[in-house]
Amino acid sequence: MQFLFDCDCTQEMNKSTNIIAVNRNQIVRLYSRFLSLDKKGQGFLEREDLMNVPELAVNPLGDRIVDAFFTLAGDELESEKRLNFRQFVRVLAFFQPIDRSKKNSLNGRTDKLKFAFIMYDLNKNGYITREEFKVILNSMVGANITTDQLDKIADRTIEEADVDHDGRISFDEFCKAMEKTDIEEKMSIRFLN
Amino acid sequence: MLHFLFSALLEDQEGNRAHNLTAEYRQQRVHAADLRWQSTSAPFIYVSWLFLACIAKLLFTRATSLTKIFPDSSLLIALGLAIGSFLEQSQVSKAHFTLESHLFFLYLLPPIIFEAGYFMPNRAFFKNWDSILLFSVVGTLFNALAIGFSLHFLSGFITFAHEFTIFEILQFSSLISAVDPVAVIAVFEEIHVNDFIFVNIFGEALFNDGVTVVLFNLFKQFSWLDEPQAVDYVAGTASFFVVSIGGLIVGLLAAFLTAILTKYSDHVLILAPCFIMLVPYMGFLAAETLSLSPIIAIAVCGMVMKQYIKGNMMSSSSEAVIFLFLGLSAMAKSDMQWDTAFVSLTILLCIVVRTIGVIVQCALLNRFRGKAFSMVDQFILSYGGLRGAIAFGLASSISSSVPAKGMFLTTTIAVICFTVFLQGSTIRPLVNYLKVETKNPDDPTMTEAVYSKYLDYVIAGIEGIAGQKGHASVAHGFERFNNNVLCPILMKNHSKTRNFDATKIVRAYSKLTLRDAMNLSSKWQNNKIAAISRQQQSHVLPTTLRLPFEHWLKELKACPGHETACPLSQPHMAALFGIFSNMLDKRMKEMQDVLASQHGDEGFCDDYNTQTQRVGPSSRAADVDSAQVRHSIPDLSHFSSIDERTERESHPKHVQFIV
Repeated sequence: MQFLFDCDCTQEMNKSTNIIAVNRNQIVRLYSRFLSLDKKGQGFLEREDLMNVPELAVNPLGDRIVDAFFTLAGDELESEKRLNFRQFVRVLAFFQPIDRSKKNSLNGRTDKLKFAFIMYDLNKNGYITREEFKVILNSMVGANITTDQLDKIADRTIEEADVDHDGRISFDEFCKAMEKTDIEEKMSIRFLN
Repeated sequence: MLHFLFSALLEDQEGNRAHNLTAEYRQQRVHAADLRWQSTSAPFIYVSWLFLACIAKLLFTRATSLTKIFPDSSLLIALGLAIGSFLEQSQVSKAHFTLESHLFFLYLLPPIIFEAGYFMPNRAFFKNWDSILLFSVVGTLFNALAIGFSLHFLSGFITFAHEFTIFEILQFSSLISAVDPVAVIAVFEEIHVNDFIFVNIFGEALFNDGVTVVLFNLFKQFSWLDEPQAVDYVAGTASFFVVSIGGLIVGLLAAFLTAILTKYSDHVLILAPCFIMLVPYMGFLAAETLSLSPIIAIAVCGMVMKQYIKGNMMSSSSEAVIFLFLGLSAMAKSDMQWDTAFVSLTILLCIVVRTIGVIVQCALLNRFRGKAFSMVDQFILSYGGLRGAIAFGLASSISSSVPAKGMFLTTTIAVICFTVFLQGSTIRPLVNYLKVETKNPDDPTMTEAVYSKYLDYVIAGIEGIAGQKGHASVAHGFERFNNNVLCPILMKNHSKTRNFDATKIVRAYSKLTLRDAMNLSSKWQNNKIAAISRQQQSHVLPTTLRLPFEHWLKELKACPGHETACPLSQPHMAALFGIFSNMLDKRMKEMQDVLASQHGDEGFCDDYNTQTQRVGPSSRAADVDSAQVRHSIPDLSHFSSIDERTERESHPKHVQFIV
């Protein structure tokens, strides 16, 4: 039963428009991880399941990460907030290291940036406003600096990225601001075979 | 190894000193003043060489045409060789200017290694710990064994000047295969490669001491035994781990001790720098006493201490002295033996074996790592394997009972000169030619400072979800441990916070704001100067700020709706304008004073690559320290916006007044 499921998954994955090069071993590994996370044995993951991961519990951006996961995974069924295995793998596949020689390298970079962007964009309107940015900044470093400094830093960062001066950052402006950062390397996880 | 030398030379020195002091010069007459050369000769000579080395280094920085081609270290060796041959001709006693191993190892080396560890870019180091470990342990081991066995094999076909046993040649190969941290610093600091290559080669150079010295001693001991037995081999293998890990532990202990001592010594300010100098050095000596690796100990001490201590660092000119002495000693040693075949074979083998080693190891690493080593990276890594004075020090401590010692010594000097001169001087044009990514000289933008932290957390989280302990989650785990456990113990005024270290972000912000403020200040200064010069031509203007004010007023009048935004009459506005430009001047001056007071005080970079590339190879440029400036950042955003509005062509929407 399990192996059948795996085969189905692989075929489905390869058919999907986003060509994700996940091989069979990686899928088996991720599936066992999925099962270990799904403690209630429901066959899908909910927010609490992910939040129970120890690393996320101590991560200052933990809840934002989970939120982005669900948003990216189930963007058609936003209200459901359930993650099945296929969606789980699809989101994790965003973080695969990009092979620069392959043609879909541009897609890979955009996907990674999309994840980072969605984490900031709390109300999902496609723009990061100053307040949303301040929230994230606060959760990362908030206790160490005064609110005043926080405001100034947020203002400064928004200003740097905000090309059309509308006071908020669109996805394109975000991509442009991150041009110099080596996203492909920073946002990659090598899934061990 | 060193304690034998040390004790032997100590006896000799004491004997000398006693002789000098007691040889009271019986004089015939009372002299008003005397020449007391005998009693001060030894320290005077050492200090004079130090002085000479510093002068030489200073002169080299002026002779830019020469230093563009050759690295400083090679010029210093050349100078040493020249002086040495001159002194040799004039038959000055050799005792005065030879580099004894103990002088080198116990006095000159520790400050360099400590400073190197302190200025190691920590973040890059921890990201590459796996490759550094592989290169320094496996790479050096492979190099030593391959070169040793090849030479031994070749000695069957070619007759060299002297015969040597397998263990003697392995001793030689282990010392010649080590990349030298001093030489690497000296050459690489001038060429500013990116952090990735630098930290790999530098980390390798620093930590391969654990392997080199162990191998050297091991083979030395084996050469004394007639019949090495299994237990000897086992003990030998065990000594690797003992030496390296022991050195690591000693270094960590020394670092923690220093941190705690400086934390509690803030009432007596003079003690803190004393501790910072003494404790690591004591750690170095302790490690050497216990036959652990002193270089690893003091390097680790420097690296770990950086986090918990901000103090004054002595700038070390020991580097210059080492290279000078190297050149001198090369000339001074009388038991030299030049064997062309041996020298050329050794050089060839060094290059070939290192290249093979680097390629194989990088191929292995690339399978498991995110950040791959490109062909260019691998080339620079294998080409940058410079040998230096540590090899020379070890070579001169080979026991004289080995007949081939002279040959080994000469070959070591030849290899060092070859690597430092040839490879050192050609590496810069090669780096340019291969378009190796150099260290980004721009200050990080706010975006980069914030997002790099942010991305680390994201990846740590994703790794957690995927159930994988990758680099990011390990780094994150360590960061939490550091914050919750270590920092409260080792630092003063550190409160446990749930959130994490913001200093990088705040520092980037401070730097950028100050930069803007300075630009702004200079713009205002220029305006004032222009206004003053105009005033001198026409005596009508009552204040020096009249002209910029008029210009500003014109802009203001030109924009629509200004009457509602600025209901004040013109004289009032002029007065207000005058007030607040004075305030601005005062604030600017304050900030400039703060910045000036940073020089030589707390301001310094804690990263070797950034600090050296700012001004010059051996000067320390000031860096803005966030702790001090944080509290004095004025609210300049409004000022800058006003400045922009006076400068810009487009009409401002409204003007803000700060009173």
